[in-house]
Amino acid sequence: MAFDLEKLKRSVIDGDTACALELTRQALAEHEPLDVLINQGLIAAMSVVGKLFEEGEFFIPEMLIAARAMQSCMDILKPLLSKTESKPLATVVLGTVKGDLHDIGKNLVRMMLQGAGFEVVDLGTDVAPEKFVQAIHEHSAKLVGLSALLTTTMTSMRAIIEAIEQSGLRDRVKVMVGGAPVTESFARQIKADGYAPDASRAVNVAKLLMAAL
Amino acid sequence: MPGLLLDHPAPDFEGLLSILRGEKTPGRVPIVEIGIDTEVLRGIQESLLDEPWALPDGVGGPSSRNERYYQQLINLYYRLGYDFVPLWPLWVNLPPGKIRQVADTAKASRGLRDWVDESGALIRSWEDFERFPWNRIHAAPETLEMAARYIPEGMKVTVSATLFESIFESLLGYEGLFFCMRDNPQLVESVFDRWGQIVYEYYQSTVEWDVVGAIFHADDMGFKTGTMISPADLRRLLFPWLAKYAALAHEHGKPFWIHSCGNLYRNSPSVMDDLIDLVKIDGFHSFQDVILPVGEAKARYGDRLALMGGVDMDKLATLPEDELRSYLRAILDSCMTGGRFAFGSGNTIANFVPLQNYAILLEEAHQWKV
Repeated sequence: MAFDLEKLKRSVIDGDTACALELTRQALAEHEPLDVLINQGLIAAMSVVGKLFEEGEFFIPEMLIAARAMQSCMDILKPLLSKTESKPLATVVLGTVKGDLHDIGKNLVRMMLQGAGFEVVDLGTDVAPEKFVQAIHEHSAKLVGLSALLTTTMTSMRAIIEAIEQSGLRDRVKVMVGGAPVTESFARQIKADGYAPDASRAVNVAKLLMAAL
Repeated sequence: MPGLLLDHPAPDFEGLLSILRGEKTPGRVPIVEIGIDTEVLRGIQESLLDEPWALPDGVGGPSSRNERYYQQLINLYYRLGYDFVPLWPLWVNLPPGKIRQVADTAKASRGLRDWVDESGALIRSWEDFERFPWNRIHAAPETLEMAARYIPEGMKVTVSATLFESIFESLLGYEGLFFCMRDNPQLVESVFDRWGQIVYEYYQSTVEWDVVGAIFHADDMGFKTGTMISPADLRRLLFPWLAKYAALAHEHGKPFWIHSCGNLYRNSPSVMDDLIDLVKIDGFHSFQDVILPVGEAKARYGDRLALMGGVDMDKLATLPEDELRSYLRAILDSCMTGGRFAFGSGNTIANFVPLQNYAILLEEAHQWKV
């Protein structure tokens, strides 16, 4: 009997980790292609989750438990992937800027980007400009994501972009910004490449920026 | 900053209420805040009144046992032209939430800024819940006693607490709450029940005081594009308590106001519709231009409740003088007609708002011709 990929997708969307894991193990036992499981199963499921979030059907709890289900399955599949199979869409360096310890927004962005097939290097919070530069260089990142919660801390985003310019890496990366006080207009002022109002739209912005690279 | 402090303040809380109820054509611009950061107050006290701030750095705030603190706090709100002073409870026997600290980047720096540890939680299991000192937590009564001693004629205090926000910031934590809603929903309901009751008892013990003019409840429910949890979950977990608090205020002939950050305007009925129709709030505070500018909110909801605050924090903190004055006047022009509006920041006068900009906000309010 053909493996029920839709059931795997549904279990991730519903955040049913136990069911998703059972189906993943079943798929492996039946030698289902890994790229199909990942791309048409898990990543496709997270894409639906993102859409439901944007439409106001899903909220943070639903996103988190779906991401948890997806990550649990990926933890089984990742070690089995060959180098070519495991190639991510791109590597993103992500962090909350210097002076800011807001975590949850950035963590949601990280989960959604991972859910979409990006490799994410999460630098955490209170990240100085030079750490972003170092991480871009070390991980050959193509995308940088900056998060801030307060008006007084979002000003660090300008310093980070300037640091990336001074390091000669600006042409190699696209920078996207987000957070409560951040707006499209602010993003333009500081010469960021993209702005996302929430975690789900961050994935759309990331994909658009990748296409522009 | 000449004119920042009034020489002859004339607080009129009852007059404010008439304006907010739309009963009275405003003859002045009423101003409101749910909070002014200690660094801002200290800056005003020490530079304009040439008096030292009563507390050492890092100690006190809106919950303190220092009587001198309440005396100067009330005096400053009085001199700044407010009709009420927002007060927060001094919780006794409440375990401290998990916080992290980092150097404060604001100009009026407090040294280290406290941040909620978003992965921290005081309650992670039923064992933690059973061990939690629910029955021993209460608000110290002397804060209201001290405030009542110094409140001038015509002025009141409001009492504020948080329910949802306390749960996601410390009791269950952000991640704890969000995962528990699926993994342990009964624990979530139980925490709401226990903390909701503690907040109810706080309001019950304070709302009957003559010096208390309103319950000004605060619960951030969302972010830029929506609410943190679904409106259905808010209706199930939070709104029954908010409705109880509102009923309590109304039983005592006092209004119930809510402060909440976030986009409460999606779908129909929206969370805002629920707050008005189900909870029966009298006033709403907190606006962010990127979500819904206060002028549009007034046009949409002004016939159903009072709108309070409205000056976007980012603009208040960053606009140069000319642009800020134009922006403030535009808000006053669009919101003052017909009352149902009180002017102020869209959140709080935070320590990253330049004192000059705060002074401009007050000046524009005092000078605006109704």
